[in-house]
Amino acid sequence: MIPERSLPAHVSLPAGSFQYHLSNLPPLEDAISPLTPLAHSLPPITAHHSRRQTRVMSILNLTPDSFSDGGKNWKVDESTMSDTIRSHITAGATILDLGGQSTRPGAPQVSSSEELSRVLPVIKTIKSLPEAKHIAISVDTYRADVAEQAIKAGADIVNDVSAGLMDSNMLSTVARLGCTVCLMHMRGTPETMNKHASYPDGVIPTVGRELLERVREAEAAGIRRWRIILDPGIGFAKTQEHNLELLRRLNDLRKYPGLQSFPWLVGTSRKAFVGSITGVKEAKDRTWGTAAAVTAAIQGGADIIRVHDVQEMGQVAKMADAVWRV
Amino acid sequence: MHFRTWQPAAIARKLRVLTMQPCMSSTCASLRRQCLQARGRYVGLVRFDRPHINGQTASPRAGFVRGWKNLAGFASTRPPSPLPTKHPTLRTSSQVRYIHSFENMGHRAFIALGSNLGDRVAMIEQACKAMEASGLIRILRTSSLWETTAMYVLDQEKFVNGVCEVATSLSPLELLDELQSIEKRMGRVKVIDKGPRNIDLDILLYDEQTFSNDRLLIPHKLMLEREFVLRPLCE
Repeated sequence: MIPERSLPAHVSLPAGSFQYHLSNLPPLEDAISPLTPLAHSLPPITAHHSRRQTRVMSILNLTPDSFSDGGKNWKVDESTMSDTIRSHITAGATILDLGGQSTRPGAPQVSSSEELSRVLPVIKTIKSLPEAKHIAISVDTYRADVAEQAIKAGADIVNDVSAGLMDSNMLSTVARLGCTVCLMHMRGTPETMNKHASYPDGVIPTVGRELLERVREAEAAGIRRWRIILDPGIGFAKTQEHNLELLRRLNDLRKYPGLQSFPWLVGTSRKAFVGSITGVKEAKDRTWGTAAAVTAAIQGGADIIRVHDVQEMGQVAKMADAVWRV
Repeated sequence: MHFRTWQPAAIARKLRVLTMQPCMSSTCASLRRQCLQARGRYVGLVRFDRPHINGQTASPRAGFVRGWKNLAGFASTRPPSPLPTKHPTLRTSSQVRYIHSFENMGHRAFIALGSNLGDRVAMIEQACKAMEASGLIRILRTSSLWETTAMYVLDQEKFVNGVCEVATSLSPLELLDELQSIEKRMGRVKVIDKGPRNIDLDILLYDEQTFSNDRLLIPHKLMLEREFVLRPLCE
C-alpha cells in the first residue's frame, strides 16, 4: 500500500511518512496479526501470532494413481470412506484436502467430469458427518470448473498447484466464488516441471518473486488479498537442494517484500527428496523423514502442514508447536 | 420506484436519456443505484435546470445519459458547449448541468474497513461488494485484514480491520453519504461511540485534500495513532 506517503501537506498536520508514524507507535500488548478465513466453522489463521497452533491438512487422494497411496481411497464404499475421514479428524486434521487428479509427473490427465465424480461424493459424505462440523474442506485441483462445482457442493478452499496458470479461468472463478485459495509455486506442468528446476538468482528470491506475481494476478482477477494462502511448492520444479533450502530458509521467504502478511502451507509428506535422503524407497514408509521435514517447516513458520500420516504428524506438529510457537 | 418518461420523446432519443425524475439528491442516488442494477453502466447523470415540458418551463429534472455520442462524442467531466441546436428545449448550456460521469472516476480515496460483530470477514466483504455495486466506487487494491483487540472501549470482540484504495467520481461528502448508506443498509446501529459495530467504513484520505465540516474531517483525525489503520496502510 502506501508506507512512504504521508498526510497532505498542511500547516496543522504532522509531517512524516505513514511508516515513520507506525514505527513510532507504542507496542500493543496484544500483537496485531493478519487474518485469513478458512471456513465459517473454523477459526481463521492468524499468521503473525507467535503462539498460533499449526493446522494439519490431511491428504485424501481419491485417485487410483497418486504417488504414495494411489488406489487406497479410490472407489471405496461410503462407510469405509466415512471411517477414514473420521480417523483423520480424530488424529487432529482440521482441513481435509480432496484430490481427484494426481499431480505426480506422468499421471494421466482425467477429464473434469471424472475428477468431479471422484470428489463430489466425498464432499457430500464429509458434510453428512457430525464429527466434521468444524472441519474445512479443500479441493486440490487446477481446473476451474472442478473448483466451482466443489465449492458449490460445500468445499471451502481451492488448493491450486499451478496458482491459476494451468486454467486461465481459475483466478476469476475463485474471485467470483469468494472462497479462500491456496496458490502454490510451480513452473510448467507436472509433466514438464522437472526441466524448470533452475534458480540462478537463488531459490528464495525467485520463488518469492514468482509467487508475488501470482498474488498480483489473483488480486487483478478480483480475489481479495485476505483470501490468499501461499505454498512454496516443495517438490514441484525444484531439485533436492532447492527443497532443502526452502525448508531451511522458510522464514526468509515469509519475509519476502510483498508476501509478509500471508499464511503459508507447506507440503513435504513422503516426497522423493525425503526418500532419497533417508534411503527409504517405499513412499508410504517415509514417515520419519517427513516428521523431520514437518518440524523444520513449523520452525520456519508454516501455518498449515499438508500430510498423509495424520496421526503421526499430528503429534509431530504438537511437539514442534510446543517448542517453537511461544 | 415508478419511472416516468419525459416528453418530448425526441429529446430522450437524441440523448438516449433513459429516465427523468424530479431532481432531489436522494432521488438521484436511488436512481443511480436502480438503473445500474437494472441496466448496466451509464455514462452520466444530467440535470436539466429549466426543462420545457408541454410548452411550459418545468421544475428541474434529472436523467441518465447512456452515451455521449449524440453530444459530439466526448467523455470528460463537463458537457460540450455549445449544445447541439437540434434539441428544441435545450437552448442554452446553462440548462444542462452535468453531475456525474461514471467513467471518470478521477479521485482516489483510502477507506478504512472495520468490523467486530458477527461474521466479521463476511461483513467486510459485503461492504466491498456494496461499494463496487454502486458503480460510483471502484476498489483498486486492498490491504490484508488484520485482527486486533479493541482500542478504546475494551469490553468487546476483537476487531478485524483493513484499508482499501478506491477510484471514485464522488466528492468527499457524497462519498461519505454513500458509505453511510452502505453501513445503514447493512444494519449498522450506533449505540456506543467506538463501541461494537458490524461494519465501519471511514474515509482516511481523499486525493491530497484536506476537508473539514461538522460531518467529515479529512484526513481522518485519529489515523496516525491507530496501528490497525497504519499497519494495513503500510503493507
